[in-house]
Amino acid sequence: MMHAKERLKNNVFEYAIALITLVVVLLIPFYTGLYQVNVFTYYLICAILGISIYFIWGIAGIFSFGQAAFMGIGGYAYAILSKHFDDPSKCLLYAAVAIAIACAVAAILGYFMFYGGINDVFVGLITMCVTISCQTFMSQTAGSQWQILGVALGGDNGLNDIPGLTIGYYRFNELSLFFLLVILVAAFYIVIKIVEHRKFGYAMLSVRENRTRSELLGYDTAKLQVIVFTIGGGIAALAGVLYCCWGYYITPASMSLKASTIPVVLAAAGGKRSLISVILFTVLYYILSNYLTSAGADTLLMLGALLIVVILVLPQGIFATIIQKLQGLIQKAEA
Amino acid sequence: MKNHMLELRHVSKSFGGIKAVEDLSISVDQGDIHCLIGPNGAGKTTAFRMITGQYSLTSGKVLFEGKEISGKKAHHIVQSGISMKMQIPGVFEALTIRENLRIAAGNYVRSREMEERIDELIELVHIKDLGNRYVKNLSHGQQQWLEIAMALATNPRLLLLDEPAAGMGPEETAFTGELVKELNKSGLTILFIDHDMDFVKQIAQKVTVMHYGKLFAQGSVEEITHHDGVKQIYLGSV
Amino acid sequence: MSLFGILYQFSDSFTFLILAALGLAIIFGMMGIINLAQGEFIMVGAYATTIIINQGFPYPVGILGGALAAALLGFVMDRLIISHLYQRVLDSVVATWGISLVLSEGMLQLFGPSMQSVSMPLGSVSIDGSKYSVYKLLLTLLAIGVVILIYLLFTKTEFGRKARATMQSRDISESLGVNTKAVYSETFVIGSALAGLTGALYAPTMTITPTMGNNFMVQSFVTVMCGGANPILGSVLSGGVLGLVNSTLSVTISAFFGKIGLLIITIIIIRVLPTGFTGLIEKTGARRRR
Repeated sequence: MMHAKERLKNNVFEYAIALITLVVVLLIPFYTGLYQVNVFTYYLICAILGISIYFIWGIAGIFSFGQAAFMGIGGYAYAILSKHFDDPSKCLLYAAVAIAIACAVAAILGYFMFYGGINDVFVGLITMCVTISCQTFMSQTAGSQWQILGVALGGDNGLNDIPGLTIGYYRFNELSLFFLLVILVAAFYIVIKIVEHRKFGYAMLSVRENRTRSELLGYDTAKLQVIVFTIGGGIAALAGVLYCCWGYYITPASMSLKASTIPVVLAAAGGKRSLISVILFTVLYYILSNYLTSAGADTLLMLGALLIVVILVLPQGIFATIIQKLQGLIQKAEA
Repeated sequence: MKNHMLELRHVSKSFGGIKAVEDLSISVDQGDIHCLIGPNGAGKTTAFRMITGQYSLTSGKVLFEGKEISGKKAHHIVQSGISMKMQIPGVFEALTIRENLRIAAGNYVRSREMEERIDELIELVHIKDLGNRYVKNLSHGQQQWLEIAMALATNPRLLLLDEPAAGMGPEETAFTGELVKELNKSGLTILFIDHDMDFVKQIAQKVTVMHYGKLFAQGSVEEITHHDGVKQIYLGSV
Repeated sequence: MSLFGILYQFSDSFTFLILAALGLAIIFGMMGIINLAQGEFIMVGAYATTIIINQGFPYPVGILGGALAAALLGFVMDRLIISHLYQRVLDSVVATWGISLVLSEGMLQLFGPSMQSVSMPLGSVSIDGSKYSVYKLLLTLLAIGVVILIYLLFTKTEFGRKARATMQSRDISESLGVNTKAVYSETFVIGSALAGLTGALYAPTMTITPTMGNNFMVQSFVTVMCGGANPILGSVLSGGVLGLVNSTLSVTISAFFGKIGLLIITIIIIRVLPTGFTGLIEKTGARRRR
């Protein structure tokens, strides 16, 4: 198909970077210790949260601070289910139910917002309020009267001793969890790249660019937005489930204001309309932040300043601009 | 009674206390090129938006092919066979021509036939393929034609055009006129809004004149151009 | 609980909502920008006030100083950042989030995780056997005074005339010779000053930390969302309705449900009135004019 070939040519640089990144990341366990590998697994979980933001904001233009809330809901639901039933062989089922719960919450919230004609900044405000409320609620559940399925919610201490991920009889260890995350991130990248060039992808693009026009081309924009928001909530919830499997704990801090805004800031600074930029920038930020914080620097201050500079000078985002420029150079050299 | 393709029955629309359209009745027959004219603020675009479901009706009914469409949502109305080219802004400026058309045809053609359909539409309206460049680099006229192509991508039986030749030079206007006639010959019924009487004479078969939100006169091009009242309120003021 | 007690609860909620939202509402109404750094401007006002009062100056000087400090900060932020983004509303919202990060983290670096707050002045009065803070009662009067002042500013002054014209249509105002950029800058500074004033007024009532602005966040957002684009009437109406919901739920159930109630009622209100109370005012206004 000519169309696909042309697309490959136009994005050859991005695909090359994606491939190189994948190889470099896969090699990590061979040149660092298990501790570093485990830390890196956390960064990849953050990347999945970033992917959910790319999905709703980058492709469909839904500006939301609610992803941390869905991550928290997914995480808490998974933790409660796996602690209540205490049967590690059904891990996948718990994960599926947890993700379904988060999707349902996203669908209900999305229904109220998008069918009510709420858009753009207001979606950001409502989702931010929802996230803060989730955190406030979970923080005040310290007493023994706060239980779900007999699992005490634990207030600010959250839930601890969550069983690790087990599929069938295989119990994931630090190394295999790392590889699972690499595979998941790569799979998301490939699937989203494919979906973007399918009808559903163009429909999302249409909603992002101009909702009135989309309606007049026969798109049910509110429905599309609810669907996108629900899927995005599901991806975030998956990140929450994986977070529990990684650290064996979850606390209300996972739904804090900071937790809800940093992924959005990272997407904006890296390049919200470029999936590879969102993933790379998120992971690199956490790597850098890890080094700089131990050296006594305030990385949030730097991130804030960087965000301002990016919006003023490179509104497409740092990585997205670089990739675009280099791709342009390649095409010029060819011509 | 003969069944009209599109029928507005005593349609009214008010915003707050202001009546934008009042007791308007229009019927458009299958195969016609029908023009809606009237001075600025006569309520023409409001009438269009009521047909397409962007505005709800304060009172009255809109029927398409005998079925009531008023009260339905915009996307349902489009899917039932009415498509519209907006006044401004109609195209997705930050996307390429093919992306624009891919979005437009998304619900109406199988994925396998998509690229073929896009080629067909580009050919039909004579726009140059810009490859990777964004649509905002197109000339104004080309953007208008692209928007017509996008409207056509939804396979309409009735095409609404809000000032299809606005802001165009004489040559571009002439091409637009030819295009509209060609589309009509291929079986499409067309209802359009315009100010330019010469353009209207060139292509329209029937004309409806609106004034202060109300129906002022309706008839063939001949009748309207010789209508004294119309001359006074509309043509006289040009 | 006595009638006065209920009224006191309501006016406390109402005052908090109005003061938290007014600066945000003015910037949103005029420029379409939601200033996500609103909470941090409030925080800066509170810090400035606390520092000034701790130096031995009287409370009114400290409060004025808090408002001025935030105004100055608003001016600098507008010149450096926001003024370059007037055409890009969503980008400017994201940029204000950057500002908020820089301000709260910067304050943490400068003054550490918390600051000794000043004590609440004016003591308390006893009515029907319950004690009420005089300062909090005074805050309600002050809030009403601020609303009236802002109303006069927008209706009686040259700036207000230009501002309302710009709000109606930026292009037309520009063609009529209004320097809309200057109007935007002035609006941003006024909005910042109001945020600073809020911080200054609440400084004696809360713990002074770099993240104290977050305490105002939900309340200010919901008030502006329900209020809509009309910064004064919209905010007052939504402050009234939300204040009622908040105080009722806080008294009958708990402070937490007061907060959740705010959010739920907001989602319902904008589901019914997408343009908030502003839309309601305009609708009835138009009907009356006929």
